[in-house]
Amino acid sequence: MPALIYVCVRCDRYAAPHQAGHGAGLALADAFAALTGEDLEVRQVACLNGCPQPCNVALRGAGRQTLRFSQVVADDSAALIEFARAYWALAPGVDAALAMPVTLRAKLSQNTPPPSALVAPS
Amino acid sequence: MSRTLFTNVNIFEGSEPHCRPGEVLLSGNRIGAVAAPGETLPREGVDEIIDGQGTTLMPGLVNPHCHFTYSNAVSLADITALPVEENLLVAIRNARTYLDYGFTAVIGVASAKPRLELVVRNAVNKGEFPGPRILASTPEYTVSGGVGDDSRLDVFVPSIGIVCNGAEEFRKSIRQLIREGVDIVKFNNSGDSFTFGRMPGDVNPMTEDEVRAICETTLNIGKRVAAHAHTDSGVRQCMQYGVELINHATFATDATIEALAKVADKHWVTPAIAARYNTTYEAGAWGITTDIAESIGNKRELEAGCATMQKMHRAGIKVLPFGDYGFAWIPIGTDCRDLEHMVNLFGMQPWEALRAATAYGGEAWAGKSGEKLGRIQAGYLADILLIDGDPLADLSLLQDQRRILAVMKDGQFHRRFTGRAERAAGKVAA
Repeated sequence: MPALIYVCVRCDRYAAPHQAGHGAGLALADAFAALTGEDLEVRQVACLNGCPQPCNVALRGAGRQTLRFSQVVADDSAALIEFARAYWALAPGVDAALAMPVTLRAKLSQNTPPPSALVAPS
Repeated sequence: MSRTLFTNVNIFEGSEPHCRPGEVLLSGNRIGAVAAPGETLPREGVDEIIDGQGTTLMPGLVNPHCHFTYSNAVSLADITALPVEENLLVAIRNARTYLDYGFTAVIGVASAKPRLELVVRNAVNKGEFPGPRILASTPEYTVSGGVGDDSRLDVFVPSIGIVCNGAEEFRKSIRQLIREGVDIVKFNNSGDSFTFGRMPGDVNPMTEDEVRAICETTLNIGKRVAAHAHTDSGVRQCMQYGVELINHATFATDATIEALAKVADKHWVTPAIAARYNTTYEAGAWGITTDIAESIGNKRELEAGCATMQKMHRAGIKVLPFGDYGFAWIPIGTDCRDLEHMVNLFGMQPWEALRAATAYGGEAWAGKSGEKLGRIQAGYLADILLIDGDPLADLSLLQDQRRILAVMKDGQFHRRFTGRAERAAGKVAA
C-alpha cells in the first residue's frame, strides 16, 4: 500500500454552479500534486464526507486511524504534505494525531480509530 | 464483427489472487481469446491493436445493490420529495457517473419512483445516454410502519416505498410494475436504524403469507427478487422463497449462516456496510454524530454486520461490496471505498474483495439467464477496464477516476485508452 493523501475533487459540491468553476477541490489536488514526490501519492476521490465545510483532505490506510481535514486551502498544502509523510512513517496503531502540527488542529474534522479498534474479529 | 487486441497488459481475471501478463482479443462484444503468460495471440484479422503499456486489464465492476435514482440527499424523505422530472435528471447523471467509475453493470434494488429505473435502463440500452447495464427495480415494497412508509395515522405523507398490507395487495401491485417492465422486485422484510427508531433493523414486520405472495408472484412471471433483510427471520425467508439478492443480512444467526452456506450458489449477500460505517463515523457534518448513530442503532448494525460478514465469508457465502450509496455521506461515485471496508472490516484479502466486485457480481447480475460477465475469459461479455497501477496492491486506485484509464462496456469504449501519462496528468477529459 503506497503512502496516500486523499483529496476530494468534488468540493464544493454544494456551491452554485457559477461559483464552482474549475472546482476548488481539483485546484487543491493540483496544489498537492505539485508538492508530492514518489514517496507520497495524491488520491483524487469524489467525496470525503465533509461537504458542508469544503475543501476536504484525508489520511487513511489499512490498520490506521482516519484523519480528515476540512476548510483546507492551498496555503495548508505544505503543512498537510509534511504531516502526511509523518503519518505514514508511524507504525499502524500509533496515534498520529499526536504528531499533528498545531496549525492543522483547527482543521481536523474527523478522527476515527483504526478499524481493528472498532470491530473485533468474530 | 470488429476484432480488438489488447497487448502488454497485466490481467486480473476476476477470480484469481494475482495478475498475470497477457493479451486479450475481443470479437465484437465478447472476449474471444485470452493468451496465457508468455504466449501471443494471432494478429491476422485484427482491426485494432491497443498497447496497454503495462496497465491492469480487469473486468468491469458490478454493483449488485445500486440506488442510482437516489440524489445523495440526507434522508429517504428528501429523495421522495424530489419531483420526478428532477429525479430523472439525477438518475441519468448517476448512471453516467457509475460508468465513469468503471461500473459496467448494476442491479437496481429500490427505485426512487416507480418507473425511474426502468426508463433510464431503456434509454441507456437504446444508446441515448451513457450508463452501465441496468437491471431495473421496483420501489421498495413495505408494509404500514415499515422502512419506506413515512405516513402517520392522521397525515398522509408521500413515501419512497410502496405500502401494501396483505398478500393480495402485494400481488396486484407487483403484477402492475412487472407489466411496466421491471426486472427486480424489492421488498423490506426488516426495519432499519436509518428510519430513526421507527422500526429497528432486528424487527421483521412482514408476515410469512406476505413474503410468500411477493416471491411467488414475482418468480412465476420470471422476474427476480431482492430483500432488505437485516433480520435472521428475513434471511431465512429469502432462502425459503427464492430471494437471490439478500441485502444486509446483519442479524443472521450462526444456524442461519450454516444453512445459507449450504445453498451459497443460489444467493448473494450485499451488506452495504458503508451505510453503517459512514453513518456512524462520517455523517457528523449532517448532524448524525457517532453518539446519535449509536442511539439510533446504526453502530450496533455496523458491529453486528461486520461480525456476520466475517462468518459468512469464512463459510463460503458470497458477500458482495457496494450498496446503499446515494446519500449525502455515501455519495454515488465513492462506491469503491467499499473495497477498503471489506478488507478492513471483514478481513478479506484485496483480491477477494475485487473478486466479489467483478466475478461474483457478474454471477449475481446474470442470475439464471446464462449470460457471462465479470471475468476475463473467452465467451464473456467485453466489459473491461484498464487501470493505471495494480489494484490488488492498492484498491484505492479504483476511487480515482484519473487512474481508470479506459472503460469498455459491451465491446464499446465509454472512455478510450489514450496512454498512461496523458490522463493521469489531467490532460484528457472524462
